[in-house]
Amino acid sequence: MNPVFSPSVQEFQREFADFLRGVVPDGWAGAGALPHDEFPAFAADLRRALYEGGYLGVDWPVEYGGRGLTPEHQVAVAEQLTRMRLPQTSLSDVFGMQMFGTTVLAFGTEEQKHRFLPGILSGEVKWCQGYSEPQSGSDLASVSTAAVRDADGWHINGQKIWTGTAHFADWIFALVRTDPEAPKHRGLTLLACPLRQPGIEVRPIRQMWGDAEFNEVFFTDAITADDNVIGGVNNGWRVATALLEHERGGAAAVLAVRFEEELDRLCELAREHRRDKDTDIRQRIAWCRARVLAMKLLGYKALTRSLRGQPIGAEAAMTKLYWSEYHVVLTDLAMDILGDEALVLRGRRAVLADGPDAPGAPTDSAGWITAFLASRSSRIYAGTNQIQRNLLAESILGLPREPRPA
Amino acid sequence: MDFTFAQEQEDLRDAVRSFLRKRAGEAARRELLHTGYAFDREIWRSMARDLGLQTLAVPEERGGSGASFLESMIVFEETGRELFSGPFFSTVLATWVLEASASDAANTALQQVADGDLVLTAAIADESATRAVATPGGHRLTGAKARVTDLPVADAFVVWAQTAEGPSWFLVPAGADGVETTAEESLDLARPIGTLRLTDTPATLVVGPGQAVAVRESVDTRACVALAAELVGTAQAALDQSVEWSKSRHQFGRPIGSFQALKHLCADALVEVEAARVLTHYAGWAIADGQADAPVLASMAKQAAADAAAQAAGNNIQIHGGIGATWEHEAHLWLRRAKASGALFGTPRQHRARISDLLPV
Repeated sequence: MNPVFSPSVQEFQREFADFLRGVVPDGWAGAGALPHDEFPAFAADLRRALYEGGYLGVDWPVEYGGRGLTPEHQVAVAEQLTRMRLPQTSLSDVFGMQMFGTTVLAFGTEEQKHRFLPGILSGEVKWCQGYSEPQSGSDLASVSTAAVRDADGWHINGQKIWTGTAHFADWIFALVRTDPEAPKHRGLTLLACPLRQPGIEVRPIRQMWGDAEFNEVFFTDAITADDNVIGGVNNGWRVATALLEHERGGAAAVLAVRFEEELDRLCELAREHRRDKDTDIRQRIAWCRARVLAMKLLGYKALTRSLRGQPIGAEAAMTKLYWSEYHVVLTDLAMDILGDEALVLRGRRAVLADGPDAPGAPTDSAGWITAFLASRSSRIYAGTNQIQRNLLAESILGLPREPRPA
Repeated sequence: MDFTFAQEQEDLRDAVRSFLRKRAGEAARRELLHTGYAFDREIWRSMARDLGLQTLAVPEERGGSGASFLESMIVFEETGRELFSGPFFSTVLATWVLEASASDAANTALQQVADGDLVLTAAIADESATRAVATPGGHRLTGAKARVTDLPVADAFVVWAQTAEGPSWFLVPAGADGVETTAEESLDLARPIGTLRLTDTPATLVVGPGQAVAVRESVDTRACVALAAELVGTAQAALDQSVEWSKSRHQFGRPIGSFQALKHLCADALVEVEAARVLTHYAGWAIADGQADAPVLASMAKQAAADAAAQAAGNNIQIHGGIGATWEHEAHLWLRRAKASGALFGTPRQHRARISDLLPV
């Protein structure tokens, strides 16, 4: 047992820290301290610098633009970024690099890897994920958006919803029904599809915290080429569920570092409100500290497995469940510390509402209130936590499945 | 990065698990329910002589196996899983004090523990102030120690007492003059607890005032992680029992484990056990590796494991329905252990207070 970065990764992390010191300006207070409207441009510049410096996709194979290093290096990069109060690249990279990129690496053809991966890494092509549908909810296998093949390729008709970043994406990877006669898990296909075409309309959905991060996407005879099938026709369920493991579990250790920074910021809030000696507040902060460490260690365990070439599997559901439930507790605590100041949104709003805000963010009430509201959605997206519990009970504990209607 | 145990450590776990299953598993728990606590010295000797468990982390030159704290922690997880009815925690705890002593008395005692001939316990908490007076013939102790684990079966006690120069550790044989033991009715049936009264009792100084406080701190840290490991084992055992029962018990025409209400209880327990387990293993590694933050990590592990065990054991009773609430069924043994060990060496609340003291809010 040696739950620390190996010496070569530590050395790599030091190099990366030196690199970042050349990127951030003097007197750097953190990306979260930037004015709200300056953040997107800053994040885009940072992404470009990371790409040019060779620090994006460090664990991707060299032939597709990566550095050919290990997932341990990838975690070290993410940790260092947060330590220097920098955000993790851009929001669309979650879909492009982490989810679609990893899936193409696992299931794509050689031609697809060469065609898709370098553009994802450079940021030239932005991706979004088309899974959910208005009627499918947690029953992902019931999606009904249909794709039919003819000489032009695949014709897609239907509607997707909760499509994060679709408003600025270039491509979508969509789970579509390609065999309506087959049992519902067997007639699905994962299709990559250009988003900017006449057959596609994107409509933003405003969330309860005020921002519009998600969209509805309408397909009306949209077309994508035959060679954009990922992982085989009617094999979509297998490909899609493998992809979800990346969404839920891959970044566990990385997330924890962001939560550590956020918890320190909450302590600052407690001090500002003179609640740092309050027994109840101290109890809850201590509980959070242990949770955040456990999150990191669950990530280290998953990282160890992936370094040994073992799949993350259903345990990814554990990470998703653990962090999203934690974040609800943490943001409740912030609201309690704010007391009646939580009645008013004052100061800077969160620039990142998905999990902790950007490192170095102020302790303004608007930021915590946004996080409080947004934390409720993290228990729902990427599969509700009730679905995660079913998955854990069935896949890890081996409990019997719910009988399905014939 | 490697957050797994080495093969030899996994082998140790397997060996301990199969030994305890065979010699001290379910049958011993039935006995506990029907005839009460009965400590089997034969099993104890076999644990010491054949497997070396009591002195696994004691240096070889002092009669032990020279393993690290991590190996001990693995054994604690297994004794907790089987709810081993023997003074394992108490004895190992006492050896941590003796290890810090270069005295002949400590050496002799450690060797006897290694041979399976000596059961020890540590008497730390005061019922009333315990004072040691130096006399020409050695020290004499007077006072009372509260909540001494495995008191009824201990052959000797390692006692924390005040001398004129400061706190120290003493070794007191159970048969010494002025020793009076009172067994209590204990919440944890598998770990009897009692009060130890000493009246002008002759005692051997093993760790003096210069060193005693540091030894106590280090013992506290190890005790917390040892108990956390036991609690992780206990939580896992309760969860395993829930899962087995959920698969086999049918209601409304199907296994009850197919109902989401029970699935979610099991899944929540699983997540809490896993989180407590990684915290415990990490704290164990920190102790073995000499990391400076081991004390705060120990507190994190202890509170998480106590909560996880109470949750898993409580759920287990609920999932079993009426049968789970009977004396006959062993489900209450896990709950008793979860709550009792959760309070031993600090409740979750006390540990959370300590975390906030050690890490700035």
